[in-house]
Amino acid sequence: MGNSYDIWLSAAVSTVSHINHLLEWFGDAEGVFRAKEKEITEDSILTPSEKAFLTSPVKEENRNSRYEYVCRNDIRMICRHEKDYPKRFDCLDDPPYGIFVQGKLPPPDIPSIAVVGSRRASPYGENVAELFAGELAAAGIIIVSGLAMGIDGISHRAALENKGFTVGVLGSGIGVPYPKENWKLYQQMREKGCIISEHGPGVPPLKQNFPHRNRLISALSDGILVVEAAERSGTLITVDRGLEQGKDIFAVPGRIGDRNSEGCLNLIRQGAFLVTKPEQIIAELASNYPSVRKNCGTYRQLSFNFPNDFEEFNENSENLILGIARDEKVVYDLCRLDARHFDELLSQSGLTVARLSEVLYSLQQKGIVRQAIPNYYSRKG
Amino acid sequence: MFCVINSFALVGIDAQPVRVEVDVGNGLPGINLVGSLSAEVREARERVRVALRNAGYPVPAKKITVNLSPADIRKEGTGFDLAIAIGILTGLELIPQELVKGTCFLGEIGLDGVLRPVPGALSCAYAAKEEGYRSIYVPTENGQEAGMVEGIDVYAVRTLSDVIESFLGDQLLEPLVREFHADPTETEEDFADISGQFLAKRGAVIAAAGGHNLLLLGPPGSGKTMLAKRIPGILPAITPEESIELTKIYSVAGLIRPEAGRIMTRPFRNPHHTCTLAGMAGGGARLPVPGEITLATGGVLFLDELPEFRRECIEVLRQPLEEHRVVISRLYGNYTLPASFLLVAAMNPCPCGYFPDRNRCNCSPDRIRRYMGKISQAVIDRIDLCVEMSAVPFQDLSERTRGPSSKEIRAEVERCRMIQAERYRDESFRLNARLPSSALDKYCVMTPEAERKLASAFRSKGFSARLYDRIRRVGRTIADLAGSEKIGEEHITEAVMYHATDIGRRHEQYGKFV
Repeated sequence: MGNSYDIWLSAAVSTVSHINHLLEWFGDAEGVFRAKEKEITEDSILTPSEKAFLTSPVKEENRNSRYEYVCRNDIRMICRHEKDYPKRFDCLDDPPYGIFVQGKLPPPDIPSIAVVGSRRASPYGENVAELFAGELAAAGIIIVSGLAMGIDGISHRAALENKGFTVGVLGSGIGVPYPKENWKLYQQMREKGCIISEHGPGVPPLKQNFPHRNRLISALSDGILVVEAAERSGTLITVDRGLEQGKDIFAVPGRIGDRNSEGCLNLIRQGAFLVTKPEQIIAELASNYPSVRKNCGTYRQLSFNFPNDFEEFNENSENLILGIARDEKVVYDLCRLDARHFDELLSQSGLTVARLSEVLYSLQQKGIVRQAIPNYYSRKG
Repeated sequence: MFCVINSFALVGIDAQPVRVEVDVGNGLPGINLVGSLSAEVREARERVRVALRNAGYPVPAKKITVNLSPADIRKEGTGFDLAIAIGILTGLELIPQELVKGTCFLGEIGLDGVLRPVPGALSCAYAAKEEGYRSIYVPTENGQEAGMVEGIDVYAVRTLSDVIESFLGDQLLEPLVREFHADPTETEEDFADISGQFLAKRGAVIAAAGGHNLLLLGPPGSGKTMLAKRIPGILPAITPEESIELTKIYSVAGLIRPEAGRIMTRPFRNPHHTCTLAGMAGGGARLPVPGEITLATGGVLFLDELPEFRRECIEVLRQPLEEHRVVISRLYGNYTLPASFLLVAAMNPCPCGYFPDRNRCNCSPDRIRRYMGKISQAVIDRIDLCVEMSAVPFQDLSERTRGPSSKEIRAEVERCRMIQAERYRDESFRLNARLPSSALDKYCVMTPEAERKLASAFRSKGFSARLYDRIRRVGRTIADLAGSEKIGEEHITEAVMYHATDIGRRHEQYGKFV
């Protein structure tokens, strides 16, 4: 457990190399705290804002308030030398000085997969992420991601919904959810999963900290699944870090011509595992980890099996239920993982507006179709 | 000598009688105008004096006092010029007083004696008839407009001399012969022109049939404006009462061209999003000039790019949407103007406009949310129907499968409105959209299956109680369109669909998936 000086230092300095530099000079965090102002200000490596924080006239209050915050919110700080410090970080050149943890740390002998992708995902990407993260979580695999919008948030949610374990790695300080839309998710994950940050309380979401955060996401995982990424996406930083650390890269292909597919398709071209079903990842991991539930029986289908006796269905039959079932099949076959507008389904199914709305409603109630965006429908992943 | 001439002042869109009292006596020579007058009324003194002289009747050196009574209402505009001129001549005993009795005068006079048109001639003629006057004199340009009122002789005159001649000379004026353009001109814009967009078209039909306000969301070029423009054409044909009221409004606003007769088509008002509060609600420093919401009475008020409108311009719609009228407070009193319109609003689904096409739209979920959040919940609560339109794929445009024409749809809408009028014959409202919550249980009877479906939709989607009422109103209209007495399953599921785009829900939904 880090002491109040460690917490203070982690809030003051964001970059690990700077922390290492300071510790080299002053021995430990307390030493940094007690350093003379001149020693800090004349340093050539630290940034001006770091110097300002380290020599702040209210640094005593800063230290106390952060220490209190950590105690009050059940946050643990685990420093590099402690035995609870995740072994997975050993592969890093610059392991964090300490990590702040809310919830419980993932057990080291359980496999984990990072599910990452665009923050501006398409309905297709959302469905794929939900499907994969849900299935993997149900198979007992830990889902690691970055609590961002888009693919990250959906993956975390899908894992929670399937009673799986999920880890969110923040780019901001602990207790600072970013984006704030994910505050509810943050709270749920604090209860049922785990939140990790290398930054102390109160550190705002700074742009430069996010690429760094990605090295922790990849380090915590056995493989990285990329769901949707543009050609120059931040997601690819996670992939690069993962490759440096020797992790497996999985990519779900998208349609050519779609902006959000470029990144994944490039990865596949460069030799990433092309995955089309969650089982393929599960099989890959099951060879190393006996704990993976290979056939846990919760696999959802990418297609829903309707009864096959529609051929005998008579047009004039008064069997209304069968009639609806037939239309349901027609409409379901028209739906895809990508969202399609009501009008498209209408002109291709040949149904009336009222009838199509009824059929779509019933498919939604069955949980196999969803309205991804108002008046746009997709298969549920 | 003392005499009285009748004229009218505009109050809102209606006219109020004003007595122009003229007294000619001895004293310091000059013309004095009194009676709560604005500057342009007071300036009538110079206009009238010069015009009379140029017409061959120089004003003698007498003390002339003109009082416009009732003296406590503010008189504005130039419409009193003619009455004042005739009053002075009568006061000078040049025109016998009994000749001007039972008649009234309206019009501005130029220095050369030519009469200029004034706004609100229709309202004045209408009020003149109500007051029981025999005839009204108006400038030529106002003739058609004033001539719409039956039961009163309308004299359209060109100059001041003509008026005087008609009293003094042998040249008798003929009252205006009424010409009515009775047929509603079919608009060129037809519903059949719109290809694809089945859902949006259906939404428009429901909106027209039940009087529900409509919100269209869609990328640029998806045809939101095109659709909105065609909605007045599927509303029921305008009734004579509506036509008179509408013409009065346009007459007061000065928007009627002299050759155009009565307004026979439903208005389509399309204010730009830079519209000011006064432009939207009505206002102006003096007489209340009808705003867009009043000009849209009986027709469609189309607000394109809804989030771009100033917030107060949208907020001001709350009262009209609820009470179908607007009260404007001005320095000289409160004016109530009609404002009973069908609101059709359109907006892009995101700041760039192309969401959910991620190949074109790069808006972050947060930006989309903020864009949606620009619209006040209070207004959203008054919009029953919400449809998201997709970009029309090329093949749809080229195929051009023609749907039903506006005429056919209008027949359907009229049928549906008849059902409503019949059902609400003992009520104060006539449209499903105006069903108060208290009467919903009475009129919106659902089949048991429909009730089950609605209840389960509420559970799974987490709708609010307010939405529940709106869905039932829309369901009622859908059932009426289908000619069904009870609201069935398919009506409810369809109604639910038009709520999926409810802005409030969009926030949640984006929150869930992004």
